[in-house]
Parts: sequence; C-alpha cells; structure tokens
Amino acid sequence: MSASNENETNINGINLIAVKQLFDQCVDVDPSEWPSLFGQSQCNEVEIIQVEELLALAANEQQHSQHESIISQQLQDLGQKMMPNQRLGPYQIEHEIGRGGMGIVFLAHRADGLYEQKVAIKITPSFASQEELQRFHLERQILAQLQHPNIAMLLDGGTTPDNRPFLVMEYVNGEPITSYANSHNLNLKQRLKLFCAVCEAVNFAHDCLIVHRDLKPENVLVTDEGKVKLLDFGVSKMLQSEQLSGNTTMQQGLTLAYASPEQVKGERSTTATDIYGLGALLYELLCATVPHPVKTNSPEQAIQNICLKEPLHPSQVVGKTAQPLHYKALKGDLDNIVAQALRKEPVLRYASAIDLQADIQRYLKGQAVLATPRGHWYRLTKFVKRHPISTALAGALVMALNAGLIISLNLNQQLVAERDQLQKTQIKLEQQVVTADQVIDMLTDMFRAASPNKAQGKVLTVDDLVNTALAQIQTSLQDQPEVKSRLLTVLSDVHYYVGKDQKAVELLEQALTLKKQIKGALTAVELGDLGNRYRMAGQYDNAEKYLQQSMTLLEQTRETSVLDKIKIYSYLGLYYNERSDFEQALRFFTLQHQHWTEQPNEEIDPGATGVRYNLANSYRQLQQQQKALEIMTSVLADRQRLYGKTHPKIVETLSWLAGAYMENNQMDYALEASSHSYQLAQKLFEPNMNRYFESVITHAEVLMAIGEYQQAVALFAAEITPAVTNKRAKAYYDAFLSTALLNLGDYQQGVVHARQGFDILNPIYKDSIAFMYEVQSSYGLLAILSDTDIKQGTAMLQTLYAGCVKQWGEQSQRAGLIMHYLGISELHKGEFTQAQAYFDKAAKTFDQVYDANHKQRGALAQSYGELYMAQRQWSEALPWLQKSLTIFGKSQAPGTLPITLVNAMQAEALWHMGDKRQASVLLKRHGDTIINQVTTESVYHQYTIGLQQLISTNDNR
Amino acid sequence: MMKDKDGGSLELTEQLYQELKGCANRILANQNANLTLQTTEVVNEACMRLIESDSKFNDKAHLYRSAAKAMRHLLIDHARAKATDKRGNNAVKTAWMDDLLSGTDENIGLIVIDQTIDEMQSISERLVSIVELHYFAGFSQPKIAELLSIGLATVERELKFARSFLSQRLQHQE
Repeated sequence: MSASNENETNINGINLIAVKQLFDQCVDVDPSEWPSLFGQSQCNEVEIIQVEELLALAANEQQHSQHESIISQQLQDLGQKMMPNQRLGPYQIEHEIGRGGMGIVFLAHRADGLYEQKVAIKITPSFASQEELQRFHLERQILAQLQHPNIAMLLDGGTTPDNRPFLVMEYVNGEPITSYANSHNLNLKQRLKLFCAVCEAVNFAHDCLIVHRDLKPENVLVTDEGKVKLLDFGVSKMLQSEQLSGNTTMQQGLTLAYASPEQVKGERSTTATDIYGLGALLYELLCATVPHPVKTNSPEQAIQNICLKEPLHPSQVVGKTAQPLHYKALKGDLDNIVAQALRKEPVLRYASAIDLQADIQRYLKGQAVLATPRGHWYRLTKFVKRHPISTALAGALVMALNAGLIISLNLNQQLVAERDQLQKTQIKLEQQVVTADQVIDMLTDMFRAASPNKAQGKVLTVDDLVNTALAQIQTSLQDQPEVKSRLLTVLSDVHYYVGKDQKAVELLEQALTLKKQIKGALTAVELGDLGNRYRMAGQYDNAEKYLQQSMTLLEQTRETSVLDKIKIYSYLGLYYNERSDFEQALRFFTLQHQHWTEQPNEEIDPGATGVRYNLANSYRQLQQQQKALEIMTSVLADRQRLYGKTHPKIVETLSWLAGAYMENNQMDYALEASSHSYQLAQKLFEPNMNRYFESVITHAEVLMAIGEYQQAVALFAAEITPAVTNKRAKAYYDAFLSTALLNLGDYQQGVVHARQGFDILNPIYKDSIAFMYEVQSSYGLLAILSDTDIKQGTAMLQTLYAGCVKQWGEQSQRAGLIMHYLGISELHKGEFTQAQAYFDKAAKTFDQVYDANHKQRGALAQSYGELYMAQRQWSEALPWLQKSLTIFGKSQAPGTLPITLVNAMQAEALWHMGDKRQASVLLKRHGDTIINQVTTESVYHQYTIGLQQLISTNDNR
Repeated sequence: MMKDKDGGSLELTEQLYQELKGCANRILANQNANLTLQTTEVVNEACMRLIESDSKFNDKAHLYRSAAKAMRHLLIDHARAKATDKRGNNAVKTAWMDDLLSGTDENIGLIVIDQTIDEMQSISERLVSIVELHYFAGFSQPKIAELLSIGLATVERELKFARSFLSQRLQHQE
C-alpha cells in the first residue's frame, strides 16, 4: 500500500484512491463511527479533511442536480449553434455575433439573390408547445409593424426545421451609444440630442404597446451616419406575453446593471420600466458609469442597491472623476431629470418617453424643466399614498388586456389592428382612473382575470374582461358620477376596439349623459365624439344630429382649439363620405387640411398624410382623378419615407392608387400597385383584418379590369377559406367573385355568390350607394341572366340607376355602366328595341366619361355586336365586333376571355355570311382557348361547343 | 472502423448514430421533458469525431463508452470556446442576469467537471466509465450495471462518490 501511495498521489499530494476507500467505508455507516474509521485508515490529515467534506456533500442531496444541469445546458447551447453557411429559409448564416440568456444572434445574408442584404438572425431557445409557437407567430405580426427610422426593423421570421422560432432583423453596423459618444468626443448638447432620438424611438414602441425592457448601450447603436438604432425588441416583447408570474425565468436575458427595481423583483414590466432604462442610459451618457455598478461576485448586493439605494447624482460622479463633462453643467436640472427617470416607484417616473424628451429639450432651450428634486414631489407622492393601487393598476389594465388578447385569436387581431387606438385608451385610463375603492376592486378583478394563471386551459376573451368590469361599474359608483362617466368612456373605447360598435355607442351615450348632468352641457368635441361613434355604429340619424350640434357649437364658441376643430372637421368629412355626399366631405376635409397646415401636429399625423389621404379620396369620388392621383402619389412617397417600405400604411396607399389608376385607365400602373399591395398585405396582416381583404379586393378588381377573370377567380379560391370569419370580407369576396363569374359566363354560380354577398351587405350599407354599387349591380344583372328572378333583377338595376344619377349624375361612369347592364338584360329578354335604346344611351355617356380606348367601350361595342347577331344581322354585327377587338387590344391581356370570345363571335357571324373557311380558322384558333378558361357551367362553354359543332359539321360536309 | 468498408461497419455507424442521439435525448429528458432540440447537428458532429477516432469496438459496452466519451469531448470543446469568447468580449457588460443568479458559470462548470473526471482516472477506469455513461450518455444506474456487467450496488456506490467529488470540485472553482 505504501508503494502505491507514492504512485497514486496527485498534484496536491492527495492519494485519491485512499480517499475514495475511506469515503466508501464511511458513507453507509452512522457518522458516530467515522472517527474510529478515520483512525484506522492510512490517510493523512489533508486526505481525511477531504473525506469529511465529501461525506458532508453526500448527505446534501440538493447539490447533485447541479452537474446534470450544467451538462444539459451545454448540450442545449450546442444544439442552438448554427454552422457557418447553414441555411435558414432564404438566409445563409455567416457567423455568430452575440449570445445571451435569451438566444443567440447570427450574422447572415440572403442567399436567394433577391436582395443584397445583411441581416441579424436571432434564434430563441426552444419553445415548448404548439400554443407558444402560435403565440410567437402573433408576436411577430405585432413586431412587424414596429417600423420606425430609429428602430432596427423586423424583416422576417420563421421556424427552424426543429421548430425553434427565429427572427430576422435589420443588421445594424454601429457602435453602442455610450462608446460612440466618447469616441466622437461629443459634447453635452450633442449627447442630449442623440438621447432625444432614443426617447422618440422608445415612445414609438410604447405607442405600439411594446415595451423594450432591456435598454442598454449594446441595444442602442449609433451608425456611422450618426443615426440612432434601437435593437432587440423582438425578445423583449416575446417575454412580455410569456411568463408573467414572478419566477426567475422572467429575469433571464436581462442585464443587471440596467435592470429596474420592478424587474429585479420579478414584477410586471410596463412602459415605466423603459423610462428607467432610458434614465440609466442617460446616466451613463453623462457620467460614464451605470447608476448601480454590479460586481460579479455579489449580485445580491446589486439587487439590493437597485431596489433601495438612491444612485449618486451624475454631477457627483463627474465631480469625483476627471470626465469630459463638467459637473457644473450637470448639477441641478440634469441631475433632477435623471433622478426622475430613475425613481424606484414606476409611477413617480416620467409618464412617457416623450415627457422625458420634452424635459431635456426644455433644458436645451434654457427653459425650466419639470423634474424637481425629490422633496418637491409632495403633491404626487401624496396622491400616490392616497391611491397607491389604482394608479399602478391603471397601467396594468391595458397590459393585462393585451396579454389576455394574445390568447383569444380573433379579438387579438382586431386589437393588433387598432392597437395605436388602444394606446390612447391606456393614456386615458392613466389620466382618468383616479379614485374610489370600487375602481380599485374592479381593476384588481380584471387584472386577476387576465393573468395567465387564471386563463390557463380556457379561452379568455376581452369580452370576459370588459364585461366583468362593466357589470361592476354599472351597479356601483352611484355617488361618484364623474368617475363613473370616465370609466364608461374608457369602456366604450374598449368595446369599439373589439368591434362592438353598438355597445360602444350605447356606453358613450351613458357616459356623456352623466357628464351633462354634472357639468350642465357638453363641449363641441364631446358631441363630435358621440356623433362619430354613432357613425361608426351605422346609426346615421343620431350621427348627423350630434355632428350638427357639434358644428353649431364650434361656430358659436371662439375658444375651440385648432386641434379640436381639426378633429370635428374630420368627423364631418368622414360622415359625409360615408353618406356619399362627397361635395360636403371634400369641403370639410379641405377645412381640416387648411387648419392642419396652420398648425401641424406631427405626433398625431406625421406629414399630414392622413389628412391628405382623405382629401385625395374626396377628389376621387368626385371623379377628379388627376387631382386625386397627384395628392396620393405624394402621400405614398412621404409615407415610404416616414414609415419605411413595409408598413400597413403603404398597403393602404398602394391599394388606393391601384384603384385610382384603374379608374384612370392606367392599367400597367394599377397592376403594379395592386400586386405590390397584395404581397405586402400577405406579409403584414392576418386574413380577417379589413386591411387584408381590402387589398385582396383591389387586386382582384385590377385583374378583372385587364380581363384576367380566371386569375381573379383563382385569387378568391385561395382567399375564401373557413378561416375567414370577417363578415365584410366574406361579403366582398362573394360580391367580387360574382362579378368575375359574370364575365366568365358562369351565371348560375355567379348569382349564388352575388346573393350571399348582397344579403350580408344590404342590411349594413343599404343607404350608401358607394358601398352597395358593386354587389347590387352584379346581383341585379346575374339574377336576370341566370333567369333566377328577372323581375327583381330588373327592379334592382333600375333603382341602382336612379341612385347613380342622383349620386354621380347621368353622365357618370357608374350610371353609364348600369345603363349598359340594363341593355344587356333587355337583350337577354329578347327586347331588341329597348336594348338598343339603352345601349345608345350608355354610349352617349361613355363618350363623355371614358377615353376612346377604355375597356368599357369595347364591352359596349361587343354588346352591339351581340344585339345584331341576336337579330341575325350578321354583316351589321361585324364592324362592332372589330371595334370591340381593337379597343380590347389596348387594355386586355392577350388570350384573355373578352378577346377570344369576340373572335368566336366573329367566326359565327362569318360562318353565317358564308365565309366558312375564315370562320373555321378563327374558331380553331380561339375556341379551345375559351373552353380552357371557363367551367362547363359557363354559357360561353355551351356557346363555343355549339359553335364548334356547327362549324365542324360544315368542315365534314 | 473506417478500415473495412463492408456492410457490417456501415451498420455499426448507423447504430452508433442512434446511440449518440439517444445520449443527447436522455440528458435533456432528465432535465426538462418539454425541450425540443436540434440534436441532429450535435449528434452528427459527435459521430464524426467517433468515426475519425478510428477505433474498433470490441462489444456493445465499448461502443456506449465511446459514445459517452465523444459527447463529453464535444461539450467540453464547446464550453472552452465560449469561455474564451466571454473573456475576450466585454466580459463585464454582458454579465447576464441568469448567469449571475445561478452562481455558476456553466462554461467554467463544465471545464471543472471535465478536469474532475480526468482526476478520477487515477482512481479507476471503471469509475470514469460509470460517470461518463451516467452524465454524458444519460443511462440509468441499472442500465449501467448491465452494460458493465457489475452489480447495481457497485454502480450506486461509485456514483455516490463521484457526485460528492464533483460537487466539491465545483464549489472550489476559482
């Protein structure tokens, strides 16, 4: 044994074999026997101490999971590694550029040659369930809309083959803001200006209801051009909806040095968390250190400091060290600003990033800042002491709503679409929810209901949340009408945002009635709000009543602010627009635009593009296409500049332009705009969102305008799925599909879809001819052509014609088109004289409203041809058919139905005139093309087959 | 194994691959049942190493032991690379909260585990095999006993020592 002792002794002079032997002897016996076993052993003192330690550890079971967890963490980590050149979708990984608690970031580039673009791909750790993947997908939709010049854009996302989600972000080649400031020797003013840009970006995110939660220099880069870019929103927001309970996983991925008190305590993060993050960032920009430096060996101490200790003022820090900034410049205002952003209590910080920014700007202009030393916070602290929970919960409510929504898919989509509006609700809540124990109780209940713990296993809807609150408000607060009125207003908003228009208007009416009782009268804006809400609920009588009152009041009172005027004018414009009184709409939108140019408010409508959009819209409705297009192309350019090229507003603008180009017979432009819009919509929207289906409809309209009817039918076949639950979307898809089928000659199918669409839309829009025009015209004509209900169809077309004349005048495109349709139905009935009269009338109108090559004139020429052929006047028909072909040749794609069909008609006419050879040639060339494009249900199918039989009989003879 | 390229060796490769995949899945399953992981990549790499090591397998136990060892080396290389990275790139600023709270740096942790297993080499080869099969192949104790043709009590005793020994070395790191 002694010989082996020397051989087996390790570097520390310990014989491990002996240690293990002694350990094995002792481990299964009672500790009281250990001393004697130690005495008998050959181990030296050091070895015995080691054995004692090991035995103590063996008794402590807890220690052991540690090894497994270290190993499995490594394995997980390794599993996330991407190899250089590995492909993820269209992206090729170049190399790793960063990693942290919440994932790994790789530099990559597009490998499909579509764009030369470097991107950063963030791969998150594995997700557990299908549900979470789905949630991730929804989050991506939200993030996709987070487009701001100072925020690194989310470009794409997807899942790896093993189901791990990844995000593709714009790759920003820049320097962390603090090191940028130092390496460029920025002075105080330059630093503050840079910081203001950060505030703006953070504020934009907050407007989108997204909290960053991890603001720190590494996430705030400055590019070579000096432009600020915020990074890493993706993970922050995903965390948001993930785990809300206060366990440690919530803290993963946070950097302690920049974490807020509520974060280290594992409490809910709100927008105030980012205000703290901004404060920490500003602190470091000013004095080159973080508010609470973290020593790696004592995170506990750091956490305690963050939660309890007031950091030194920047001026004090600078005073101690030789920093480029002088402490005199920091002392006072800047110290106060930083301190207010870094308050331990979220409610005591700046209410928003914009408030923080505004205070800095006041400082830069030499004005008095709002931030004050802590002692002067008497009033607010007093308020908070009185109502500590209500204030905190006010903010929590909307976050809770947001979290709840993620669970309920449909409502979530609506809310995502309207989330900027919801942000306004949040602000209102913060401003207005003030007192009363009942309020606190109510909010507490809602808050609890929204927590994922409660929601687990069942679908929690916004309805559930709001109804709980509503029931409580309506039965309580009798003695506090003011609070009640305010809360009802907020809940009215919430109802509106989730699509319950009727309930929304009802609640607002209640709220304002209460208000009127308290204050005696309502303001112009309040009346306007109510009128507008009635408009949105489709109750036009009430809408008009209140809007008129609002307008009257506006004219009487001098003190209405310009912003309020703008608001009321836009309500009126929207109202008249919806009632199809476009002259009036234009009048109010013009007023709105005038006031706007006097006092632009970039926060509400950057570049006034929204105002100009409405204006262009009115011009378009008034058939002043050139003017409308002029305004809107400038809106598109401004919006692309302001929002980036992939943004919901761009979809809307492109769709609009596609429609207007189409009306102006500029088909190439129209198709380009509508395809682009449709592609963007697929990327940005869920199928049930209004903006999605509007884009689909526009694209279909353009396809039909160039004669690609089967493509339009294919588009609808792809879009009409059981997943589409939006009623309006369904109705419009049906309506437009019926128009496509009408043109393809499939009247039976067409009339079915037309009726479906009509039945949904008519109850909602029966007063608004602009909304009903499409579905009513195709339903009317199809009812006749399919012989379903000739009488009703005729009546519908005649009513519609009268409506068009009233709305747009006799010499308008729409009136002309209905006249043409009336002619077609007379022709179908065999009333040739009447048909001719209608066609002649339509022709007169078309001469005035369309240029010579417009498709519609080609269609009319075709109808004349049909009219003569129906009367067996073959030679009279021919020149019309020829004219029709010439016109179609200008706008219709070659080989599309209108062109081939007229060729077949020519063949028929020629055959009857005796030119059987020419007829046969023409039909051979075009007959099968027609048959390939239409279904067997189509009248054109039957017509062509019949014609082929007729003409081939002749061949055989 | 690479020397004779007949059908038998290919079969062995496929078997080896499946074994490695099993190793990875077992390690993860012991920790968190819900994880999905890109095990394929990891396993591929471990497999390549094993093939390149050009060794011959006498029996199934040998194969398993080799697989566990390959996994161990793969992970330790990864941890070393990361540890170097962390020291290199602004080590202070990317002090992640979870790292700080857990008290252990998992990279250093694995390096310590690796060194400790090397130390155990001086005690016995069998101890090392048991540790590797348990920690890096995720086998249960009865399965290890069966593979190494030893009693279950022995496996339990050896692991008891190994656990305490690893814990001690991890405590003493730094």
